[in-house]
Amino acid sequence: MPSTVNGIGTHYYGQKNLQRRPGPCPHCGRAVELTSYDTRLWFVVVFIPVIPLGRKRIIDKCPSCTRHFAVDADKWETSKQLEVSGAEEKFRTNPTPENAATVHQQLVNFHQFDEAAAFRQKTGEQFPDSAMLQAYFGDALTHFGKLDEAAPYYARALALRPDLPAARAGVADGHIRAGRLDEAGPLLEFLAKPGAAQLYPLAPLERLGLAYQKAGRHADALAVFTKLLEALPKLSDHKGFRAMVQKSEKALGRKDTMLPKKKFSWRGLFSRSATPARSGTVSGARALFILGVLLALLALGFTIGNEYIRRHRTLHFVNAYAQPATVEIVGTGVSQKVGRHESVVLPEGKYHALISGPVKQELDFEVSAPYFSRWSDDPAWVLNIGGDAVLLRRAVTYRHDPPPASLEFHFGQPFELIANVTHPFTGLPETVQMKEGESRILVDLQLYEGDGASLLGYFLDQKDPGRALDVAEHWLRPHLEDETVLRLYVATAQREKAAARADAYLGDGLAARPVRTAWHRVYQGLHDTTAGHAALLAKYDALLAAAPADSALLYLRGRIDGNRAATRDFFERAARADARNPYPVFGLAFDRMAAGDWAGARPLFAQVLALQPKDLGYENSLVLARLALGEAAAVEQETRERLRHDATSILLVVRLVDALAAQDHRAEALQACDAFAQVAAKHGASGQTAAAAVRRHALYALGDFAALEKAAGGGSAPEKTDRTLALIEQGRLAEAVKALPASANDDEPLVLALALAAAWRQTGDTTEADRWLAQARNILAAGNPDYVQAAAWLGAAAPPTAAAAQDVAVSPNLKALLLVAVIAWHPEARAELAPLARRLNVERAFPFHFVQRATTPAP
Amino acid sequence: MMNREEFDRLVRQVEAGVGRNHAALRRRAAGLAFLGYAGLLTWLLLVLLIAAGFFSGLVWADAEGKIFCGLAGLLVLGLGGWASLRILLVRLTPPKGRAITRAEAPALFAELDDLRARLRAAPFHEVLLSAEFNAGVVQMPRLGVLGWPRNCLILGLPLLDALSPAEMRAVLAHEFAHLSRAHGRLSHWLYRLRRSWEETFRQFARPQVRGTLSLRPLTAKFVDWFWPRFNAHAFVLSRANEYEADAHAARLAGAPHLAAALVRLQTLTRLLDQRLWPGLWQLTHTLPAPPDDLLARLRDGLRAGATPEDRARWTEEAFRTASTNSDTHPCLSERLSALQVPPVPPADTAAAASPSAAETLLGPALDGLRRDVQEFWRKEAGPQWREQHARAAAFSDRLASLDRAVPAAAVNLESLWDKAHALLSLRDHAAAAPLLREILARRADHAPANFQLGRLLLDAGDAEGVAHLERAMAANEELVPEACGLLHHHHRQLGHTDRLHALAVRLDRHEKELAASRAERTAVTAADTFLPHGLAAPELEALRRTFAAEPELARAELAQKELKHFTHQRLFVLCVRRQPAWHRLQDAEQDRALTRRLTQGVRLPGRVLVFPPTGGFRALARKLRHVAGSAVWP
Repeated sequence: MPSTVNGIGTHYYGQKNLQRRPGPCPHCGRAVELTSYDTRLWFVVVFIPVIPLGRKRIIDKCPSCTRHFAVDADKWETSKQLEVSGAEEKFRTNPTPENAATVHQQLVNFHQFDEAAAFRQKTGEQFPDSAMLQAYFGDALTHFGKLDEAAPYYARALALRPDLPAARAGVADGHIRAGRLDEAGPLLEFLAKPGAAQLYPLAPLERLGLAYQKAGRHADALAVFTKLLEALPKLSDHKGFRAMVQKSEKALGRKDTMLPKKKFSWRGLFSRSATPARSGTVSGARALFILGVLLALLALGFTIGNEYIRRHRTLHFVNAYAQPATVEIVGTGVSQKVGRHESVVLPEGKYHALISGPVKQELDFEVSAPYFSRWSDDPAWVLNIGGDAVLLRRAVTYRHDPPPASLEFHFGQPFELIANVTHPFTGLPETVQMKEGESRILVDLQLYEGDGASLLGYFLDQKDPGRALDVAEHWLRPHLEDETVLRLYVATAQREKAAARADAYLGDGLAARPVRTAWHRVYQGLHDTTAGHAALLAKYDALLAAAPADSALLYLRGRIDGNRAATRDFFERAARADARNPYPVFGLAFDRMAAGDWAGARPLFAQVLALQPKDLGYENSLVLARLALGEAAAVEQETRERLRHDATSILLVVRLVDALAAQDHRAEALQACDAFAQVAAKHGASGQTAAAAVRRHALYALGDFAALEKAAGGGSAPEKTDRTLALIEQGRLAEAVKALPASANDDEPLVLALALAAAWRQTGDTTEADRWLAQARNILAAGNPDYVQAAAWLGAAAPPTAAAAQDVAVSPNLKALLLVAVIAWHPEARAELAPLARRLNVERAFPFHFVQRATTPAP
Repeated sequence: MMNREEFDRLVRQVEAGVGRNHAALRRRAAGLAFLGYAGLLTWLLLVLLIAAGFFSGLVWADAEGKIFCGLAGLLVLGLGGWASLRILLVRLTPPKGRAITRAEAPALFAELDDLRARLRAAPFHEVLLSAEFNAGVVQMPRLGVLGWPRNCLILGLPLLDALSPAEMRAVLAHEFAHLSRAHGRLSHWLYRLRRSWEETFRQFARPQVRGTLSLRPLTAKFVDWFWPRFNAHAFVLSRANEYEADAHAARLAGAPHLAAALVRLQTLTRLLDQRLWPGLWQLTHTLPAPPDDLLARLRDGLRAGATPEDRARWTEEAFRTASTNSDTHPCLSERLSALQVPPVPPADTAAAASPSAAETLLGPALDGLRRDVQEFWRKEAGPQWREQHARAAAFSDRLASLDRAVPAAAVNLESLWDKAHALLSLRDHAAAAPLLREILARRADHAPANFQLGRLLLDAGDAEGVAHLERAMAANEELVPEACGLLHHHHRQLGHTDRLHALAVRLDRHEKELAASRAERTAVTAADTFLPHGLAAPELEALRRTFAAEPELARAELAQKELKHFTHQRLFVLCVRRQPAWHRLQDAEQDRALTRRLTQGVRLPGRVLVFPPTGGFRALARKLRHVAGSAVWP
């Protein structure tokens, strides 16, 4: 049968030589009017006929189920003509009733009903005494559902031969249909006689029984059924027959049934009716067996594939340490040197690994996967040396409008199974060929190549400080000198009330040699308080005693010494002990800078930067010294040059803004901000946030506080801070106090407290001024010895001398603010301290303008 | 599937070729037997290989894999093995009969033991007594085509009643020789294998029943190819085996006794088939159930023997009967010749021997065993008897109603045939024969009447029946197989070996041509060969008159298709071309309308296909134009 899918396929168009006949559908069995016609089969697209596939003769199409037979129209025509003409020729040469029946049979076989009717008419006259032929015509017409046309032929046959079984049955059937059951009964008596079933079909007798039943003549019906059962005992197993008999017995109220008890058969429950299979058709069992064999072969193939997969699993080794590790897997012969990433192929199983190199470790692990998941899953087994490498699993959706990639960090586990990784340690493709509308997710796994601070920032942004601390601890093991992460780690730990954890973690690394200077510096920062200072000194004295010539220890001992001269001495010794150690040189430079001796600091900063050219902190310090020494134009030029190659660097653009502000090039500073904003806009929301921060910095640097207040109108913490600073600069202190951010980083609370104390003092509100001064003093008192020393200046009866102030090692801008606060309480010291404060006040961030105003010489 | 002629040719080739070297023939047949096993076991081997693939996973797979492989292997082995074995495990009907124990018939078992020991034959698992006039060893393979036979000796009580003890010993010795391990072990194995496979493959070829799960068709093609080849080789070997078995029987029982047994078997078989059994089945007309004394009646009938006329005819025919390839047993004369016994019938072989083997070998238990066998037969034949009884009643009723409905004066051909058919069904051949002659007097080519009369005449030994059968076949091709079977039987009895071969060829050709001719006569394509129409002038003139009535007809070409099969009815092809008006395009519908009109009008001496030179008939029309003299209009 033709069929179409979405309008594409095959379809019949046209109907010619239409013939109709009533009859049972050979497919669905319904009594319908079957149609036969000529048509043409087309290949259609959107039901539009495109390619003709041939003329067809549709035979006996059922209007109910639409099923039919279809043959090539030409073949049908050929076959029809040849068969009919052949039979006719035989009849012409030998005109017998048998040959007449053959001709008629061929005519009706090919649905030539009109010709068949004419032939019946002619041969009926030709063989008037042939009852057999008349009965045959009756049978042929009955077969094609032409019951009314059949009746006269049966009647004629019966008149000729009252004994003819076919005639008797045909006439009886007519009587049954007409409800003349009493006339039908005698005609069918011959079927009720013993042995009749051996010679004739008993269907007319069954029809008589049913007609009796329908007419309510149940006794007569049962009599017929009894005869049927006697003739065909197996009928008692037939469900339909039993139902017929039971119906009549029930109608007559009979308690005893004529039916024998049905035997139970398990086989009967499952077996289908046994009918001979059509020749030429592939039996279901054969197809089932072939299918079974193919499926079995397929299953065997899958099983072999599964086993291959099981025996060829890839184990990845990752190492975050600079030093290569060696991994030996016991009993396999695998001994692999691992730089960053290596992989080996192993069968699934339990293994024991010996790891040497930066980490010494023994590890039991199991590479295994559930049996059925092997075909579908993409697992990645990773042996992470020390568990300290950070792995980034990235799920990227490929589609027309893809969502952001989903990120997942893995670290801390020496052995880990990471599920569903389609591209382990290989890059994802830029593009993927897909169907329209299709969406596909590919997942890669890589060693994290970013910086540690960003990693911590990711977890802090995710409001997961616990994981931030975890990742910091793992990150720091191979990145011992990452002071940024160290400081972030300590700050996060202190904020999360986990200082003890950080102390313990850092304490474990103190004994490591060579000395991890950054590590010690952060550790010292954690312990260099009033209460802990003596113990810390003692600890480092002990450490130094163990290695008196150790440059790092000399430096570290010196930086916690309360005496600046002694500190300088330690630094000089340290620098001499190891000329490549940048820390003591930087310490000496910082000492000069804190004293306002920018000229003395500048060469030292340059020296440090030569030792550590990539250290941004050292570079910034040198730039600050150069700005202080009036090299703003040169800094501007250099920065512009570097920005051409690295336009996205916030650090450089801020530096450019500062250099331009120092030259009072306001418009160019704002243009630099705009240019950066354009570049940053390509990086989405984070770029916009960065551009806004740069602009706020520029507004402050240029002293446009009103604009800064306006630009800092948002709700983020940096904006709140900037708004507070703008309000302080504008003298709106009450509003500034209200706008104070809830939390602040590093020295921010100290700076704000000092600024507010000085500002309130300047307004004459001594109460507020004292309150904020006390707060600042408290913060300083909790700090290192230099801070403690500075705290003593605040509220003291006598102000410090400029020389004493120079000896305290705090950052220049903070010291400038401290001096402004001292001047506010001791105006008499203004003449001595204000020049120092102005010398120190170089960095164009808060409290630059506040200090400038407070220290401006009276006109 | 190979037909008889092809099989006969193959047997002749084997006999003329490898068959001349008995050892080589044995080797070839054995090779074919192993090939047969391999072919039949292909599916099973495939299933076993797949299952083994899974089971090997139990060695190398992990725990989950072991479970999966184990279950998959069991599933494949269970379902696949079952399906494969079903191909091979053909269910054969086991032999039926009354089992005899050693205690019941010690003399019989002593005889069997003696023969078995002398011939070193395989033991019997069972000895059955049946109501058949036969004795034989049946090997029931427990594993279908794979073998593992269960040996069963069946002894027909009528045969025991008919033969003398010495003759029976000869018959038994012949059968035992086929199971002998003493000589020609391989030949005997091949003989038994052929017999076993013969029955098995017969079951194989039975039509499948829808709804039953069977994969037999998968192997059927192999069987179709393999079986005739193996059978041809084994047949030649088996015939030699029969002679060998006769030689053993003659050695153990004496050649005269074996010869007497063979002759007596031939004569009494005819007596049973043509006189005793028909008489007994005639009882179904009156008795609703089988009689209690059937075996006693048979015994008495055998003892009474054939009439002198029958005896003379049957004996003569028995000696004339020729060997055919439908039976491994050679014909009587050849067997006697091999035994070096003169081809003269021994005395008193037209009746049962006295004392009989039954009396000697079964002794006092004979009456009891006869009753048991009788009862067994009653149960077995009961349904068929009752069916025959009902059928006879129905035909009697039909005859009565015919007599009532059709008075003698109004008798016509149809009612005559109906009456004859009823009488034939009631086995009243004497009454049926005049009616058949009357039918043929009215219509000499009445096929069924010719067939039935021919059959009756041949049964009575009247060669006139041959002519009637020939007429029946000429009038109705469908009667060819059955009529040829009757003729084959007739000519074999008369020893007409040349006609036997011709009949086999005719039957094969008929079977082959029946399907081919149907395809040939119901389709015409341009690939066919066409001949000039060959119509006579009056026929052509009549055709032209028909054409003249069609003004649209421009041209007509007529030819005759060359037929290869059943050429008695010719097949004409007529291409009719319409000349459309100059202002109209070619119209296929108009062409078809013209064709339809002419189809009804054209009358030619054979089949006719009328077609327009359009559509799928274009190529045919082109070809027709090139046939000499095809242009018949204008």
